[in-house]
Amino acid sequence: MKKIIMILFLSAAFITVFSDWNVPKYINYVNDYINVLSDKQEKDLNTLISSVEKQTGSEIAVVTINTSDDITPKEMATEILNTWGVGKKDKDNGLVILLALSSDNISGKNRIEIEVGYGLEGVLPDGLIGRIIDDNMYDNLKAKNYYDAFYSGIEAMTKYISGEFKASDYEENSFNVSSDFFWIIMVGIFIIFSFFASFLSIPKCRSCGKRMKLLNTNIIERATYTSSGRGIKHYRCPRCGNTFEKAYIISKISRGSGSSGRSGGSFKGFGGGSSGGGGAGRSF
Amino acid sequence: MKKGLIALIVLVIIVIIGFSWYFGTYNKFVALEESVNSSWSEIDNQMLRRADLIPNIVNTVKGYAAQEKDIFTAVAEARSKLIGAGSAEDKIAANNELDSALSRLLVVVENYPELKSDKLFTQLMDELSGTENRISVARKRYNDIVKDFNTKIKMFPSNIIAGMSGYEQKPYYEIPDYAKTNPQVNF
Repeated sequence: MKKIIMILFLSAAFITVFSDWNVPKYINYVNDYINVLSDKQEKDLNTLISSVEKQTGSEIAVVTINTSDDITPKEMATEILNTWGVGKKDKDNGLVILLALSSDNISGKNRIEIEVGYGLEGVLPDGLIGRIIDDNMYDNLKAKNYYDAFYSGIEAMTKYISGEFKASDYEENSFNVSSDFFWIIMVGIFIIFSFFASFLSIPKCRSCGKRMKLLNTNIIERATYTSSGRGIKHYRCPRCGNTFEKAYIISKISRGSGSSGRSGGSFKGFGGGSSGGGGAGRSF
Repeated sequence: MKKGLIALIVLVIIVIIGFSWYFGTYNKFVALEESVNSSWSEIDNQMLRRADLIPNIVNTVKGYAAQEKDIFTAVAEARSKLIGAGSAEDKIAANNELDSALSRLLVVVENYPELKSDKLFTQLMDELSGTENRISVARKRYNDIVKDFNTKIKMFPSNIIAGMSGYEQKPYYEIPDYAKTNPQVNF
């Protein structure tokens, strides 16, 4: 009888050890299971992701984990996104950035995978994800600067999610020399023009007609978030010593988006998004 | 008299339970078959998407390795077979053939370092492997649903209804052994 119980116990242990890989429980946006990030870095990434969620509604999970023999890093990323439900349920706008390091940390066996939810496949096609990894993350990953890699990767992807950049901008037809040249000329003309305009706005001396020199500026009323301010510029002619005062308006202070999203701990769980294996990855 | 009435009521109840079980099970088969079909169509979409990518990839490779003609023909043939395939079984077979032709192409690519660093090629390879990842996710989901469906068809007593309504087992999407050991090109 005891033997049978022993065998049962042993086989149960055997099954638990050799069973399939299980999706771990999430902690926050950033899930640094293998401790490659400092506490401050983790907090900063959580703050960044939380502001991305406020700004665009998209959810991003960062996962650092060891590679497994049972399952590829890509499969892990897909499982994680769908089990945790990263992204809003009706929009599927989730991203999982998975860093899988081999236990012996041999170069070439480590892998970065970015899994893209169904709803973001249009703004972040696989080719673009690959390019973002190459351009914004790869060197930092190689140098083990995982925080910098995550940060600049998230920043780059956010530009596409928020619509600031379009995926088509990234396509391989931007080597159009003539159009680049055209823009350089346009920018050049604009710079010259604005120099000229600011020069013209300097008043001339009443008696000799020479352009006056700016002595100082006084601010009468400071600009606030809600109202614009006023100031006075004092000019003096360098030749005849005539003075001239000119009022000007200080424009309202624009409220930067960085001032919101103070706390890094506004994580309320993921929204139930799903994905079907989209995205790209690199070994390093 | 009373005994007869009770017997009648019991009989009616049994008949009602029997009917509701019949329709319930039948409807379950309908719903399951529908999700088998829809998960298959996801595989189908991604296979076609992959077939669409292939001419671009072949053209890019040709720019660097024009002399590897045999492989280009093999890929082109496998691709047109996939596009022409009708039934699920034919498509799976053609897709597996395309897998092996493509993996030979990717072995060739290894010999051309300039090609590997070509940005357009990298982008196309990302799209290709993204599509392959989607196929493997869709395949896993398809096989899971087929497993549910086939189990229900074989199990007693729902197998009676499956037999009566003419439901047959669905094929799994299996990967051939050689495909599992294919050389992987990593970027």
